[in-house]
This record gives sequence, C-alpha cells and structure tokens, in this order.
Amino acid sequence: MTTYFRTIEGRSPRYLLLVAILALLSLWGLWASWMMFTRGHNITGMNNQVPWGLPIAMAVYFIGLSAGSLVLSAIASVFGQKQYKPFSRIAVYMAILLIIAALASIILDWGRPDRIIHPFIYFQPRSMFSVNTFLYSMYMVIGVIYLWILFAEKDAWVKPIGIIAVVWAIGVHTGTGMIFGFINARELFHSALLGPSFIAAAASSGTALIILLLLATFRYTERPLDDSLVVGLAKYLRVFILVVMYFIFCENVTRSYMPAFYHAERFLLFHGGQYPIAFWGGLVTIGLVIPSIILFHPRWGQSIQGIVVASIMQVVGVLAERYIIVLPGQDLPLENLPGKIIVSSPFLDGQFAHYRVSLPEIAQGVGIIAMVGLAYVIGLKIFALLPQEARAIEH
Amino acid sequence: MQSTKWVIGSLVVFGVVLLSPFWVNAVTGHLAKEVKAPHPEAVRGEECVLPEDEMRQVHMKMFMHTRDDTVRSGIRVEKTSLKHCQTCHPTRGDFCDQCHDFAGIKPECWNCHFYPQHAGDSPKGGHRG
Amino acid sequence: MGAATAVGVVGVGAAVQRIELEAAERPSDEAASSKNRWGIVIDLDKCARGCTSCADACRTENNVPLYGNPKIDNYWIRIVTFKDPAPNAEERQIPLLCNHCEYAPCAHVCPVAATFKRADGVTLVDKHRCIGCRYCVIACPYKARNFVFQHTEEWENPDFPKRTHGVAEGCHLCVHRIDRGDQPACVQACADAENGAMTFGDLKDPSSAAARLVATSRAHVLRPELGLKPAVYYMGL
Repeated sequence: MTTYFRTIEGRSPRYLLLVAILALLSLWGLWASWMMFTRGHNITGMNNQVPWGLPIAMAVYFIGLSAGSLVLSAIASVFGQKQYKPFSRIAVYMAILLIIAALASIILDWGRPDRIIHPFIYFQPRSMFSVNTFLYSMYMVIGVIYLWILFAEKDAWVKPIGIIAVVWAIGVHTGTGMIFGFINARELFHSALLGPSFIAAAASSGTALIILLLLATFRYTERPLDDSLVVGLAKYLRVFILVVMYFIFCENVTRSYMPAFYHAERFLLFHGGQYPIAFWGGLVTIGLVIPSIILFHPRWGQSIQGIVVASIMQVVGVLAERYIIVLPGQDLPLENLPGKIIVSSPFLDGQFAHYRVSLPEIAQGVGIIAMVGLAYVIGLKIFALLPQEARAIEH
Repeated sequence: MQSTKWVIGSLVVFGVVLLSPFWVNAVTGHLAKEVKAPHPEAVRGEECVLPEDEMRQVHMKMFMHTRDDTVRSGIRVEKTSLKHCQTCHPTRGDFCDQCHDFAGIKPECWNCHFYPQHAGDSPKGGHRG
Repeated sequence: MGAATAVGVVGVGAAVQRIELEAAERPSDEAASSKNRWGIVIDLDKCARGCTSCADACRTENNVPLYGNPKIDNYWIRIVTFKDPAPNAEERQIPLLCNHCEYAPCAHVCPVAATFKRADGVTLVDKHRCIGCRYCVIACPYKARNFVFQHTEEWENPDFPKRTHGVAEGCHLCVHRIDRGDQPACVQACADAENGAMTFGDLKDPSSAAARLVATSRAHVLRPELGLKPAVYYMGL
C-alpha cells in the first residue's frame, strides 16, 4: 500500500491564530535571550554556584526528544515495522527541528554567543562539549539527508541512512550524557550510567512526543488515523518507560550504597526542597509509575485517552528528570575541604545554592518550544509531511 | 501563478533590509553632514616601530598574533605591546579612534584593556570603548 | 639564564625571618617552558586570623569584580573559615585559590581551549577565545572558577585588563608579574603583611624554597584522591 502525502491547506482562522500565538511566544523568547546577552547572566537565576540553569536542562531535554524521534522514524525501515512508514517524515522533521532547538538553547545560553565560530575552529577532542558540537552538527546534516531521501522516495536508500541515523542518534545522546557523567568533581554527576540512561529517556520521551503530535495533527487536519497504529507505538513506549525506571533505580541505589554519597542522595531524595518534589512527584510518579500503570492496563493501555494521558505525563516526567540531572548536582556544595566543617566563606563555599528558575530562563525555553512548534506547523503547510491517511496494513 | 506575489513580496522585504543602514541612520538622524578626514597623531617619537603605511595595514594582525604569543606562550615583546603604543600615542581619541570612528568600527579591545580616550581619563571614571 | 635567587633577610626580635623571593629571570621574549612548574606552598599556621591581605591584593591587582551580591561576586582567592569536626575545635582560616592542577579538569573540558595549561604549569583563561559556556566552572572540584555575570564600568588597576561579562575567569598565578620576576600579588601581600605564610616558587627546581617545603612531606594538596596533581600545597591543614 502506498502512502500519499499531502500538504495541509493552512488557511483556517484556527491555524492562523496558532501561528500568531507561536510567533509571539518565539519573539518573547528571543527578547529574553537578547537581554541575557547584553545585560549579562546576572538577570537569571544562575550564579557562581549554579552556572547551568534551566536552558541547559532544556537543551538536554530537546536532544533526548530529537534522538527519540529519529529512532522512532527508523522503526519502519531499520526495524522492519512497515506499518509505521507513514510517520517517518514527521518524525525525522521533528528530529531536525529539535536538535536545532537544543543547539539554540545551548548557544543562546553562552556568555559570548557571538563567538559561535570558535567551537568549530578550535576543536578539542578531550572536551565533551567540543565533541558534541561535532556530533550535533553532523546529526543535523544526517537528519536533513534522511528527510531528503524520504521525500525523494529513494526507497533503497532508506534503510542504510536509517541505520546511520540511529547509530548517530545514540552517539549524540550518549555524548550528551557524558558531558555530565565525566565530571568527577560533583557526586550527582559522575556516573557511567548517564549515557545509557539518557538514551532510555530519549526513547521514551521521543515516542511520547510523537504519539501526541500525531494524534493532535491528524485530529485537527481531519485526516484518518488508525487507532491500532497509536496503540502499537504505545506498546514501545511502555517498554522504554520500564528501561528508564531500571536505570534510575540502579543509579540511585548505587549512590545510596556509598557512605561518602549519603549526603548527596539524601539531598536529592529527601531534603533538597524542589528536587525531591521533582524526583518523586515529577519523575517517579508522573513520569514513570502512573504511565506504566495506564499503559500496562488491559483496557486503558488500548484506549486513545489512556495513551494520551500517559504520553503527556511521560513528556512532563522526563523534563523533570532532566531538571534533576542538571540542577541538584550544582546546588549541592562542592567538597573542597573534605573532613572539615566550613564555618563561613565570602564565596559561599560549603553552602547550598538554592537555585530558583528565573523568568528570562523560562521565557527562553518557552520561546524555543514555540519556534519548534512554529516550524512544525508551517512545515506541514509547505512540505508534504503528513500522510493523507494512516491505516494499519491489512494482513 | 500564485507564488508571484510571494516572490515579489520577499524581494521588497529583502530590498528594505538591504538598504536599512541608509534609511535607519537617516531616520535616527545619524547621517553625517560632513566627513572629516581622520588624522591619527603622535605626541612624541620620530618613527613608529614599523613604517606608518605598513603599520596601518598590519596592526590588526600584529595585535592578534602578539596576543596569542603573550597569552598562550608568555612571550612579552615590549615593542609590540599596547602599553608601548601609549608612550608616543597617549590618548585613544587622537589616535586609534580617529580612523576607527571614520570607518565606523568598534574594536572590542577597549572593553577590557585600558587606553585613555582623553588625557586625564582613569579607569575609575568609567571610560571604556 | 637560570633562575636567580634573591634572599631578603628581615630581622624580627631574636629570630631572623628569611623571606626568600624567587625571581624568574626568563627573558621576556622567550616562551614559558615546561622546565618550570610554578606553585605555591601555604603554611596555615602562619596564616593570621582575620587577615585578608592576599584576597584584597588579588582583587586590586587583577580588577576582580565585586557587585555586592555574594552569589555572583568573583573571588580568585578567598579566605574560608573552617574547623575540624572534633568538639570544641577552634576555628581556623585557609586561603583557597586555583590549584593549577597538572591534570586540570577545567582545561580538559573547555571546548575551545580558552582555559589551557601554559607550558610552565599555570592554568590560564584566554578571554579572547572564551565563549562563556561555563563548563569549566562546573568541572572544577575546588570551586576556583568564576563567571563574569555582570558588566562593570570601572576598574582599579589600569595596568591590567578587566573582563567583559560573559567570560570565565580565575586565578592565573599573576603571570604578568611572575614573567617579569615578581611574586604573585597574594604572595607579595602576605610577605608585606609580615606573615610569610605563602611561598611561591618553581616546584621543579629542588633548590627553590617552595620545592624544599614540599620535600619535607609536611605539605599536602587538597583532595589528592582526585589525581589532579595540584601545584598548591598546604601545611598544617
């Protein structure tokens, strides 16, 4: 069965209103970035104790969503599940948009984004940031080539490029995990599991995002979408969620075992204020436990409403997970005088940082999400991304 | 053909953006009424470390090179240092800024490196680039 | 030219206090070389309670910005008050600064090598190249790195540049001073305050005062288990 792709009309008042709202939010985000660049980062919640705030958590989040989308798009070609072929174009397109969003989130967070050419001309193989610059830019190129092959319908090339894309996506997201995992200085960062754990969260959040996006897009463009396809994707989602649970469990149990890390784990899990809330409420309950219950339930897991709720919760839960990877490790004071009690320091040694998200950071994050949304919505109109209909293959 | 209006519209927008240096400066009153030729001066000294024409051409590259040598290798050659320029050209206003203002360039050196713009300026007075 | 050692003798009461100054007479147009490894030995028993001469001198010399907000105020060296966990332990103070580690994590993680190790062991930031990503601030286990969060118009010392907002910075062992044979500002200030707690010198030269103090095995680095091989040693910790 061949799939016919068709652009959308894109002339309804609802569509134009959506474009207008997304455009305004994007401008708000860009204005916040401009403020950060010209006034300095003191207008944000970041400081010498917590140098990385929400923008970096969002960057990691976008990279995960992007890698997950790309892997999902390859399910049809690389993993032989032909019934998902109609979704490949949207998934690859989203992967490209999301990696651009991640790069924007990072570069706009630099103190000197005007020096953007520097990471390209001064490549440092030892620095994970530098390696990632290379990985992310090649990833974007591979994504574009992949999308072009899909549009040109060169079917013989789809599987090879799909394999390259999946391998590269895994490399990209492992590299992102290593940015944190390699840092010996901070107990809550240093971990060999961070790369694989990131991949798992990427797969789960990317799948959840694509499920939501497909349901919303097909519904609002009034094109038929077979429920069984969504239920099939949800079956992948629930397995990915279990894998994420496994990694989170291993990581925290290992840390809890070491007396040297008791204080760090207690901070993260119990008395860190916003962080235990993000961990137990955001990640564990909303992100992992409730979606698993829904998706493994014989009736709820087969219903579109159940899948939608589980997917929304997943998407929120993984954002919480990114937050607790990036922030508590910095909020926790460095042990630069082990075995001593620090009484006072003008540089706030030994003190918890009490990071608070600031409005410019939120604005930048919202703005970048809006830009992705804008590019998606306009992309549907310009490119033939959306299938005319998506029906399960009759056997 | 329905894309004609998009093409023409885009060309118009592009033209407006392309010509923006002219109309933006006209609107904000920054168009120069007259153009004064730059005259960078030296207060003392017979000749510069390099012939004047050569210095004018290469001083940017010279500073970049010197900068890398100094910062990364610790090589400090007095002759090519910014401090040394100040011995014969004590103020930026009569020297560096003359040509830079004429050409409309703002090198960011002065954001960090102190070079008094006018005689008697001190870094506590808040003068920078 | 080898290193010349100038010995200053200051008589104080019955004891003669010798403050040895290491002069690095490297010709200024010669590159820094790995024959040297500059370091500092700090004797905490001589660090006077309540004295902040080193921190104040560094701030003035290097135009280190202070905004009145401890969360973003920058310190290239700071005095930290601490005590042992033992009951009734007395409070003591320690100057903490960049340790100029041989395997500096900040230099490892910098994506553009703006933070780098000079051949003679000094960890520096090339502010012309820094993109302000703050990875070095994350990576340093000693909390020795700063980011310039806010612009400052004024600065104290016209002979040394200040920094615009958006770049990372930290102690650079006063390379502009040591290259011409002077002491880092903090060490000089400590000597001027007649405490003599800080000794600067070439750790690779066995005859230098700093190397001799390290050789007594009574000088230790912070967090040796990290394997970073710092160049700043503490005695009496």
